[in-house]
Amino acid sequence: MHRMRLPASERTILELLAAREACYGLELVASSEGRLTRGGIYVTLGRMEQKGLVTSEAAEGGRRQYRATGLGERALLAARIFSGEATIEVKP
Amino acid sequence: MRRPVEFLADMLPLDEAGRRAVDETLADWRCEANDATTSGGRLLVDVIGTAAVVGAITRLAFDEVRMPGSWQLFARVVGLALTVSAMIAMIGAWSTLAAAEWPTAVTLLVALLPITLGSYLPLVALTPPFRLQRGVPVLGVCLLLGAIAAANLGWVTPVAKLSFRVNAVDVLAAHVREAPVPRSDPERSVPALAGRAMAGGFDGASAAYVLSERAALGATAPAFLLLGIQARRFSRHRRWRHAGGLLAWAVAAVAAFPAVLAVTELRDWLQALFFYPANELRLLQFWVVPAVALVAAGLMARRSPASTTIEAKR
Repeated sequence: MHRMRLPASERTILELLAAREACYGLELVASSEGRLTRGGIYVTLGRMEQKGLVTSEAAEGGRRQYRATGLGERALLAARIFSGEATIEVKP
Repeated sequence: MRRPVEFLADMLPLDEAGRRAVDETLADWRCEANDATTSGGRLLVDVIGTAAVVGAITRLAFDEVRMPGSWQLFARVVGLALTVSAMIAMIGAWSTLAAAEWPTAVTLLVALLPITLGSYLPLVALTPPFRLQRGVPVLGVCLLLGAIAAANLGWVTPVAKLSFRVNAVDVLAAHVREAPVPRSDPERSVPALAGRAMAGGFDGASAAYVLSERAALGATAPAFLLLGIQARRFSRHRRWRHAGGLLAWAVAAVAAFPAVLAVTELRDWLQALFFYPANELRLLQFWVVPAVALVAAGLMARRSPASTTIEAKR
């Protein structure tokens, strides 16, 4: 069975992307309140893109805009449930 | 400031994902530099941008070093260095003694191993891990190598060389009675030189000798790396892209051996090729590297498909 781990930096990025449509890596760093660094943001985003958690499209100046994928949103929800921050209501 | 950093970043052996991460970091820097209006603001952007690029490269290197393939290769090179050091130590002990003395061989081995390891570590950076499917991760090991090489050249090698010389001279003095064996000038590490300078006992001639030798040796390792990386970058065919680095390494190692001797010992080139003083037996290690590199390059060229180009695969 393939198990997917969601590190803290990836979870932070997914939380920030969930709150907006699409944004640059630098905007994520600026709004992360120190949890993300300029040096590590694109390494992390590249790894998340390989996992299918985020997608990106080219913008002007060689930059890229990132947004969460459906898989990324579900991974974030699962992480919130396991940490007790969200619950699932099961109806009979 | 941005252009030199871009130039240096462009020379780094990054895989596709790493290249994109560094390019995006540089693009952010460019964008912020365009928005900065004052000279103070531009300076701040430059400092932050440089730190960001260094951070990205460090992060990429750290991720690569943690990959299992890197450590497998590292273990293989350590094994090779241990084997070659043991062989040379035994040659040193057996060639000077009528009867073999294992403690002498072990002492020589312990003194020789750090030098051999420092000389062979560049092989790690230029050998692609066979079992990994992604691009060749060499940045991490290159940076790790740089740190190890700096420590090796500045501290480990002088100390180990001195130890090896003292041991070799002791063996000769104990068993060759015809003539006294002169000890060479003690080689000093950079910390030892700094300590003497602080104490006021600075010996200019000794420092010049040590530093010139360090500079000569220090220039060869990056030259090997750059040669291999460039050979791999400009090779279109997969087999030469992988094997080319090792081939360049082998050629450079063959050329560098007499060059290092000629520069450091000021000997004639031809004489340097054939001249092996007793305490220079450790230099035999340099001949093993090209042999191993050539065999490895041949094996890799046979394993890789000849007609598939990197561009075609993409």
